[in-house]
Amino acid sequence: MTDYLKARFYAYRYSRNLIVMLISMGLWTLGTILNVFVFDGNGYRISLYYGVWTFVEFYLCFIPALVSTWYANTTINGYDGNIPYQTKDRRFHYSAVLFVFVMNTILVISSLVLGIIIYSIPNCMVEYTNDPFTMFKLIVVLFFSSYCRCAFVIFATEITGSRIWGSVLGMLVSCGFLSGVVIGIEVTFCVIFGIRETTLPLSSTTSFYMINNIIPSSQGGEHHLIVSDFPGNIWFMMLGMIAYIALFVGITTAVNKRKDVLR
Amino acid sequence: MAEEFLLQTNDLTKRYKDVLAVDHVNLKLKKGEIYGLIGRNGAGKTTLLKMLAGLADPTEGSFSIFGVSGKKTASLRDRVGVLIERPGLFNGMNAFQNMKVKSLALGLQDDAYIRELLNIVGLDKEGKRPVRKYSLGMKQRLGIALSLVGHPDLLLLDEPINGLDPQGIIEVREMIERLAKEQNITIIISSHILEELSKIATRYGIINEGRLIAEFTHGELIERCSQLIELRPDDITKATTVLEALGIKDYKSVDKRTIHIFESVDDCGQVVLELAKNGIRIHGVEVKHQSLEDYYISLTEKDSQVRHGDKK
Repeated sequence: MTDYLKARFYAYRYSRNLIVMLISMGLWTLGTILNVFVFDGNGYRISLYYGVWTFVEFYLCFIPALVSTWYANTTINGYDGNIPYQTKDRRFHYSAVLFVFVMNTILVISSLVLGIIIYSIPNCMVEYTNDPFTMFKLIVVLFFSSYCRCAFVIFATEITGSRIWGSVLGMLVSCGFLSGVVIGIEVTFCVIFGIRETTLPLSSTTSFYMINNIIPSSQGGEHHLIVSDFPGNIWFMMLGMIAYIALFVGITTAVNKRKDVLR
Repeated sequence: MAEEFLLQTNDLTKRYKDVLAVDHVNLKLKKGEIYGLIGRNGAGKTTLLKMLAGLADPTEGSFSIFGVSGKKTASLRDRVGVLIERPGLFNGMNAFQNMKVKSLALGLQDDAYIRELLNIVGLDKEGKRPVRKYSLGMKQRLGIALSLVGHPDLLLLDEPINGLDPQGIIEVREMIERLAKEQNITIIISSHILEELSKIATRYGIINEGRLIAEFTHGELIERCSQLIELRPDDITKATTVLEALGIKDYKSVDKRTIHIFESVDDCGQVVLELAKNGIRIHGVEVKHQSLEDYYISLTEKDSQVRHGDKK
């Protein structure tokens, strides 16, 4: 598995994907720095909590979709075909999933650290009202929700057989454009099976984790975006997110295995 | 006995819903052979090679390579090189980088070894040029180089000369011959360009509608394809009746005026005499050479007729 990961990292390093990723993150960081330190947020006051959220929101919308395209990279270009006996030993396929998660870990941590650094430097925009536990909860949600998005994009890519469609669907769902549809499907699912309350597992997880803005906007901070607390039970949410990731990775692997039989 | 054959299949079958892509194929391959798998597009060559490469699961049957069962073949990943149709490449990367990816995947770190392989396929001078700028022939050669990573003992090459220009075909053919000779690699090579295949293979298998319908060595091919009698009688129906009466079964009506007889070539005069005795006028008789293509077509047509009950 280590060898396969090494091979994938090498291919990533020498393709243009890393450059695209770094340029995208660089532009977003530059824009944030200008907004915070030069334009002072155009008069808007925000909490550190909300600042980090908005910074990482870009990551959550865009980067997981980009990272997850690498799940199918060797399938789409046919490079998989150079590695024999994959139906008997599926580690090369698993390494694709693992590679996405490892890359996501590196990038989401970088993104979080960068966001915290930018918004922690004293400036005229941020109001430091957050206690460490609220920040911890925020970071956990952002961290885990990035994996939720990766798992969804991987799943969409495997189902559609297209990196473009996988990314587009992943981004649309991540940005909330398709959240109504997703929740609608899940509610229908619940109704069909006679589930009266839509707490967990599916409906609430999707509504919480697939829509980036739900937590800050639910605070009603339209005027100053000062968020001082985090709604919901963090441990329960973490469990929900882990279940969500496991579910989509599981379905993806099953679909991929089924394709081997039909290939 | 298991040691005798490097590769052995036992009723290997692949079914896609109603389509039987590979139909109970029994194939045995000895070390050092270059096995030419011949068949038209859709005959089942690629599916068969994909199963042998572990890139598709058989519906029925089994196979073993180096005495290892198909279910445990993952351990042979570096002993079997594969090129199925067009090579899968990272087009934005150069040849060396493409090779390096597979080397790392197989746990190999030696850059000099990669350069050596690129030298074998004649791509060592390409430097940083991205693969997207390569010609089709260069990509095929890079695909073969990729299949050689890990010092394989067996190469599975599916249509490696497909789409190449004549120069490219010669380059790939010479390279395959060199590999077999210098590195003692056993090769299964599929193609529908029969004349090219006949120049390199030591043994042949003809696959038609998923079934392996005939196998023969290069020597047998030369023998079978060496001579035939081309006969142009005035009445082809009457002539075939006489041929049947003479016990000649291996013949074919090529068109309304011509019959090819593949046996009794040495008794050509006797055959003509018998036809004449039966009142058949012969407008022309010639002992000709039959190409592999002719032989292949005669075999596949016979097989299709038998299978579909088409007696026309």
